[in-house]
Amino acid sequence: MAIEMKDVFFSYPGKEVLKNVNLTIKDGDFVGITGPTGSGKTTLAYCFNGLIPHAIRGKFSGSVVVCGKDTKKNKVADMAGKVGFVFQDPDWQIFSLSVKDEVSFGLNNLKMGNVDKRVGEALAMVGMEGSEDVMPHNLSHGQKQKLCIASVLAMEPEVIILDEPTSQMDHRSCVNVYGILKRLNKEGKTVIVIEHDTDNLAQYANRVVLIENGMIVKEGPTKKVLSDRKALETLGIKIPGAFR
Amino acid sequence: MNPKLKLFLLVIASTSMIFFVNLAFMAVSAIVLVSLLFGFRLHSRFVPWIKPMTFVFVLIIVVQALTFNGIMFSVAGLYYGILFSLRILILASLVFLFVETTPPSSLAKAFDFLPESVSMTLILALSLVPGVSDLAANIMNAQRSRAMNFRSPNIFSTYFPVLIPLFGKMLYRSEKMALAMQARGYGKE
Ligand SMILES: Nc1ncnc2c1ncn2[C@@H]1O[C@H](COP(=O)(O)OP(=O)(O)OP(=O)(O)O)[C@@H](O)[C@H]1O
Ligand SMILES: [Mg+2]
Repeated sequence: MAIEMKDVFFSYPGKEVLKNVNLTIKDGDFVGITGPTGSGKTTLAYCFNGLIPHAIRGKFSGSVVVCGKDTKKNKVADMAGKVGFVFQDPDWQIFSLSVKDEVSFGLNNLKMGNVDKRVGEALAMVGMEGSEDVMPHNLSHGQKQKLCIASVLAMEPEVIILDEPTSQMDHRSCVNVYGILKRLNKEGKTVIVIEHDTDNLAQYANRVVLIENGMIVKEGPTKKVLSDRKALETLGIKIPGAFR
Repeated sequence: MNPKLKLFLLVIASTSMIFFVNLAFMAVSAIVLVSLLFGFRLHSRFVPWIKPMTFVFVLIIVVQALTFNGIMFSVAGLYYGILFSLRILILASLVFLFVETTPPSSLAKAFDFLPESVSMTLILALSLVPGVSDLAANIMNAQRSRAMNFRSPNIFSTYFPVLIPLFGKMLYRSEKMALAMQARGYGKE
């Protein structure tokens, strides 16, 4: 199992967010998580790599096991080799003065060898080959998002979590990014995307999790979840074209 | 050039600028700097970079000239004012030259003789600088489009709508940055 969550509750100081979440994600799944703004998607994802309970203040209970490691017993940095996390806003993540340094950051932390080669390959995967010496500040928002993805891919995690990875990309880049995710998924990686655009999920995900108000309201094969018009309509989620 | 050597030269040049306050020395340094700026074809980029600081120079000269000798105008004050702003101008152009002639990736290498936590902090700070000025500009534009008047004499009404979102966002960002660094294995033994 890639991820097993049991009876998880989490509250930020003064705000209860996750309420009794039980979720299993199998190795090799391509899972889409969707739900209204503020429903707790990002918070849920923070549980997958140990940011909750280790780095984020709040009250946590329940258990989360990712790639056989209990997140309660392993620090975030120790989970990092197994679980890659692409944050919602690239400006939270990018801090280096060059694209190359940004991508090699995680590699150095994990003491992985062949840094130059891995950096080159990861950049090529997102279509940014040859931009090693560019200053990240000068990239567009969509390019920054791609850089963040490359910097996580370079670490070759087993599970990749992406929080709204294509929210500010043009259509072509978006197709491009999902193409990469699909390929990685075919190679056996577990992919988890938080996504508002249900059309993307209909096309690429094999399972979908619907979350509202910190609770999982529906979970299952993509077709079954996204063709449930009533559930989607009550949450105000777009019914994907494929199931209209 | 080796980035570490360049950083060393930068430190030497800036400290000498602080210790030798004399017009002849400064004039020579200024001439050297200007020819370097032209030599590297950086003069067209330098002007817009230094322009926002003009106000500071003028302020320094005026304040020095008016306060050096009690609260009245003095030639000695004017002289020191000019000397002082010239010094800042030279320091600023030294830094400009250093940053502009060093590719970003070797900029980080220039600091790698420092303990890791210190060089990491420096790099983080350096990488935040361009972001802050963009952010401030965006916030100011957002407030302008809500009819905010930046010319108002009441500094509270002009500064708060900019500084509060600015600091808020910076704090939020540094918090998230710490999370993102851990998520990529920073702090792993
Ligand atoms: N650090 C925090 N402290 C207190 N409350 C928080 C904190 N972070 C998030 N929240 C609250 O928790 C709830 C869930 O937030 P979360 O970011 O998980 O939502 P989300 O589903 O990812 O939303 P979006 O689609 O906007 O990204 C929101 O109501 C939010 O206001
Ligand atoms: Mg979110």
